[in-house]
Amino acid sequence: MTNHLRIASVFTLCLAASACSHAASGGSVASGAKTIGVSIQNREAQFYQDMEAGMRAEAAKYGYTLVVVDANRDNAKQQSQVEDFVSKKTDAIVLTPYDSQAIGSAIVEANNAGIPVFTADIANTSNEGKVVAHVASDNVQGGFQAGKLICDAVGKSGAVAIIDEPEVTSVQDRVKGFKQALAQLCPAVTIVADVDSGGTRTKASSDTGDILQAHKNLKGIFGINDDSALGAVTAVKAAGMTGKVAIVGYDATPEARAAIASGAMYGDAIQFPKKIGATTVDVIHDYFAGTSPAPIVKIAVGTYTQADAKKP
Amino acid sequence: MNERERRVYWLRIGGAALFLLAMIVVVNVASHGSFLEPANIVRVLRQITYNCVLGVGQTFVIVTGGIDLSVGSLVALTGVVAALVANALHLSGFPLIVTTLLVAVAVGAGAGWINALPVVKLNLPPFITTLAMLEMALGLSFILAHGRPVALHSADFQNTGIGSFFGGVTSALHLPSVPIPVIWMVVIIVAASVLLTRTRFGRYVFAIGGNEEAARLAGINVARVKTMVYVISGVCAAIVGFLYMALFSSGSPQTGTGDELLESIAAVVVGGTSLTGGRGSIVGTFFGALLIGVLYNAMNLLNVDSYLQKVVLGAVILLAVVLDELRKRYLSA
Repeated sequence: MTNHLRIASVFTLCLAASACSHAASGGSVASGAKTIGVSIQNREAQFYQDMEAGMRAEAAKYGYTLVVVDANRDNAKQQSQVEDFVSKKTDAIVLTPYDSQAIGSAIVEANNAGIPVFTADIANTSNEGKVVAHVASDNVQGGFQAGKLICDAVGKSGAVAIIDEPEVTSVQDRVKGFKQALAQLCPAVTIVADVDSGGTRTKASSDTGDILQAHKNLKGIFGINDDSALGAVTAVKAAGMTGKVAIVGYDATPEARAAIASGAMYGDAIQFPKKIGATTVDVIHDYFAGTSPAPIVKIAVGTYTQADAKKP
Repeated sequence: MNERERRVYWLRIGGAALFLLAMIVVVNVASHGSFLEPANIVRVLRQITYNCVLGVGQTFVIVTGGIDLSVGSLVALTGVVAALVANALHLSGFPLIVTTLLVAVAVGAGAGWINALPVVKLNLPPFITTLAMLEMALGLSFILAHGRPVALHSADFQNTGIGSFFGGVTSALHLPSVPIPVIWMVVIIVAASVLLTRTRFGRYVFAIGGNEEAARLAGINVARVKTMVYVISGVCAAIVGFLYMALFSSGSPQTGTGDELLESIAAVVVGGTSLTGGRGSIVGTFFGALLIGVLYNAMNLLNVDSYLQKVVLGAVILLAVVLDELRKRYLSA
């Protein structure tokens, strides 16, 4: 069993290595110009496609060559992609780690080869490896935006609930910002429930149903992601309270945008992946120029409401 | 039933009823009466529908001494397939709903059949074959959905997912209307209960769980019966996948992959079905799912911390199976 596993994993590694060296050879390295290797954890996701577009536009400005590869939610693959960048001697490496713990060893390899490593969107949380700078959305400020939307919708006072997922770091930041906004902008609005629905629609739907039963005067709900918010939408609908409870989510996925357009949701906090990508390249540019960038660069989060949905 | 069995039976029923009654009274007082409102009771029934239907399918498998770990992933897969099919079809209204449901059920039944194949042909443990299906179905649903939820184009499913029956009658009586998913649950419970207790197939299921070799020697087509129970479980998962898709107006590869699998097994076991097979009931599974659902609802109404909720739920499951084991020992002493 273990032997089989070992053979299988070696085989997969080889496959992954050959696949990515093939992919990486697509980007030709112009002599003299700087080359940046980028390994994205899941290039299929719209978020990362937008981030890549932002990177490409900014890199074109500076005349940098980007080599972008897809780790395809595979940690071993991402590891070998970094090794490939090391043997190609790229001038910098950008990672959105698939596994923020396991990525450490790959970063160490790049460190040993003297190649600077940057992370975008997802940070390296292992104790290993040195990252020059991390560029990501400011989730505290994003939570603040969501809180502002709730204050706008609910008014001066009233009861609101949080559909939470407190074990996730970025979510903790969102909720922190949300509470700050309420304290500053509408201090009479009270949080009457804060439940852990694991960020899933199914649990969010049934938990919201219970909250509506316990707090019939509920006026607002903050879902820490759009799955939580969309789960809450169904519970509010089932309780026949559509329009009476303002629901605010986070991310502005296509389904959430449709719900906002139809009025089932009040609004969303929205991240700007293009800006994350562009800023990452800017940070690398500064680094090449000799300035040492801040270790964490935060990108502001905006809001998306029905007014935005109506724009063409 | 002899005297001792009868005494244990009433002790069990009485104990369970007393426990439930005490809990209801305490929670109702603590929640200022909102727990026993008809609207809340209907809401709990709607919430447990999905877990209960998964548990019904799981009961058939567990009574034969097997286990189906793939149900959560099959909910995701069938939901995604149903959403893709619904978007691709040029139908609307009732024909669209029925066709979509049939496709989802066919996928669930097929997956169940694949689950059973290595179990009956090679005598492989279902723990592994259904674990393999868990992975395959999950991966497949991500591939088919390109990793993100498939939003339904049609609004025709909304009534199936979130609508109600008998609205006129119940509102005249000042009662909440009955959600359509709850009607699904009741129909499935009745049909499954009849199948398990009133048919030859049902007796074979118990016989295989009690002693597979004896069942074989008695001339029961063990392979066919075992295949059927995994197909039934797959079909139940497909119905849940379909109902979730209708509820959320989208099929997501992440729906059903949370606590659904373990809570469906918990509902079955808390309902008195033995994990080693040979003993169990559909009605028991319903009450198992109800107990879990009522616990969650009550704890949410009382604003109990989410982490503490998990501790309480685990403790109740443990208590239920320990009491059940003690009862068995007393009977066989």
